Amino acid sequence: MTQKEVLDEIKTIVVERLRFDPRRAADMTLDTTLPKGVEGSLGLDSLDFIELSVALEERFGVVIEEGEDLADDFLSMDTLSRFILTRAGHA
Amino acid sequence: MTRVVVTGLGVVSPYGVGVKPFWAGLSAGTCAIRPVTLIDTEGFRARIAAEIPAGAMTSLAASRRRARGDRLALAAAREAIADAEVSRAERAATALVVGAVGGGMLEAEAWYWAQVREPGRSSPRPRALLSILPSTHAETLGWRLGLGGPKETVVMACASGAASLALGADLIRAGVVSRAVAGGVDALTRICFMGFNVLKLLDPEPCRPFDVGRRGMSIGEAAAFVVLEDAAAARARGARVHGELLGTAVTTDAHHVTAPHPEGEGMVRAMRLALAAARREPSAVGYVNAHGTGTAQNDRIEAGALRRVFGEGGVLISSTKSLIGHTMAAAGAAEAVATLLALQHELIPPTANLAAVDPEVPFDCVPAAARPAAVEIAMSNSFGFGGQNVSLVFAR
Amino acid sequence: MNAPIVRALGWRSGWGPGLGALPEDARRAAAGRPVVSLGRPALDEERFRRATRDCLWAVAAVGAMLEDAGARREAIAGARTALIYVTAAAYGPSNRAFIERPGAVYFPYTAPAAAPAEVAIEYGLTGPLTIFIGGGVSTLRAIWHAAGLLAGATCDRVLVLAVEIFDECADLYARVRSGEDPLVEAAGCAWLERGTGTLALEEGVATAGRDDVRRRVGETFSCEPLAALGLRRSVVAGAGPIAVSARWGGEEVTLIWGGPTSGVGAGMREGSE
Repeated sequence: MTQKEVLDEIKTIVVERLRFDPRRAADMTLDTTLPKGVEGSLGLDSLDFIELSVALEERFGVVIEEGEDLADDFLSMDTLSRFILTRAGHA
Repeated sequence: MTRVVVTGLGVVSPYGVGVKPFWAGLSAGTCAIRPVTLIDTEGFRARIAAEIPAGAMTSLAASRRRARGDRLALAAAREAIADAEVSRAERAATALVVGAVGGGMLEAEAWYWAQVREPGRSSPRPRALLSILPSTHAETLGWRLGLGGPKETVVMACASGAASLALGADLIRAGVVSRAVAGGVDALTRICFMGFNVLKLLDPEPCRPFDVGRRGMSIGEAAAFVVLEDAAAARARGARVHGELLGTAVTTDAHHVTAPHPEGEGMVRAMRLALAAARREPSAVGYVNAHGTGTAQNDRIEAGALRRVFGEGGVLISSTKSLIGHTMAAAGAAEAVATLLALQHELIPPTANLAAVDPEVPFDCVPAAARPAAVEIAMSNSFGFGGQNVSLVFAR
Repeated sequence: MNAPIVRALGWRSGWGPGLGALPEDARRAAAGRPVVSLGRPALDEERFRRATRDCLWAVAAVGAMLEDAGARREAIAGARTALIYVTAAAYGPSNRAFIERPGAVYFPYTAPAAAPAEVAIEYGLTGPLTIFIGGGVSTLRAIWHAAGLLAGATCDRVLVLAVEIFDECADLYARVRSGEDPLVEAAGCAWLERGTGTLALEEGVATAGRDDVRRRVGETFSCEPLAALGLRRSVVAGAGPIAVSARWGGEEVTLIWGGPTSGVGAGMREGSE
């Protein structure tokens, strides 16, 4: 699995699970930041991150514990896709 | 200013039917959270809840054909009315306020799933769908108990039970009625379990409010009602008074559909407004029955809000939810009853399952065992999804 | 009790925006359709991407009310505005959707509290909130409760908001309903402020006018009393008492506005819609 493939899967999740406009998802790059409050980010809040983590678990077979502090990993598309690759044993 | 007193209490809880077993369970610190039997929890992160025991259900007078929530509510409201010794004639002018969320959902869900799986076999005009609305409880209770005054159903998520007491007190203070039966009810439902499961808010083990290692909430079910009364009317008929509802307040966060305001802004305002309505200083309060769900976020933010209002360690706090789970729309009402009983018995029910208090909770959370304390004034807090905050202030 | 004035009223229904869009005869206009749908309002897609239709229409109805008042949203923001939300069934679709497709982002919207929460967030309302479940009787009680809040100076204004959404559960309604009136999706919001007339809430149905409203609007559960208020806005203050009645769950209630300086329409702009 490549980072590009992970990125595309996350884009699909962003549309299908988080209900963003497909055009908005299409514009996302590795530089796109995620959390609400970060300048120029997609604007995800706590509820989105729960849904996103459930979707990532389902799609990539990774396990995300609720107690983990993953703020740095869920910061941008780049950090998130690297996190997935590491957890899924592809990096 | 009209004073509002509490003249009747009624509870059906995971400890059984009645106020007596409720207080016995709370004061003994018995955690009633056990494996779920009512719904299929295969694959859920938590498979435990605080259910009403089967034996207690069997003992209820109401027909088994009624929705579970209706049966619980009827028993609890009936006990409260009997406790207050409200006559049939007085009931005709008594208001009813029911806090509810699930309504007949447990039964409706079962019908719906049967219908999805085996469309040919379910009834075409399902009774279960007719009782799905939470307002059905008020219709059933009004009719069965002869309550002839205004009937309202308040659905304010996890704050419903507390909001119903606040509204009942409003009706009395506005002079609409001199007496109101107010409380909350929720039976366990699959949708509720599914929802908190998918939000990863359920602790696989019995919940541990205020513990540093807490992992979420446990769900429970209950019904709790009180009889609220204009103090003058109660005195005139020689009613026994359990306590006084000194003040209430409801505020909104306007922040997020699920998350509380990070600084607990709405919680702080609710507590301060309720104290102002009660004409009491924070220092007069000796005990707070906290919302205390056991989720990472609630307990931390609630503790912060309590610190802003009462100062660090300024008050004893405990969580009824550690004992009987989060009983949803019943929670605020059950916790109001717990608060009144604590004042009456001069004994603070403990927070169960609390091994190591979170350093962010700078309060004595009354771990493990009930604590004798002759408290005069106590507060009960309830907060709901959508940023609804309800605070009730009681006096002995 | 002091009667509140209705400063403004926003109304949206499956018949089109405003009360001017109501047909003379809802049954005929529905032409056999069991549900007259509102569709989706045009709101910022990304901000409301998770919200269900009941939330969207709740927000839109408050917007329509502000438009009617000719007021900016700042006029209602803050802790001095109370919000009372009433619905019988608007959260049915979100519950059904969640049962069929559980997802973290959908669960909060199964609660009726989601709609007033979105309204509070959108318009910055931090005052008292009450949510009643029921039909028109609950809406009349909400107005009565609002009058109490205003009389007690708990707040300066109260928004009574009612929303009903049916489309996604049309097949379930077909199983349990026998009424001939079409289910008409609707959202209404009344802006109430303190008045000087009198308000009374009585048991029983007093007015023939109610049937007229029902005939025009169709079945809108909790929204109907707000349509009745709006339709009587041409009745100016002093023209005598105005009564609005409702039936629900075996209860019948009538709210009566009286007194010379109050009345429905006293605070409204003439002829606005």
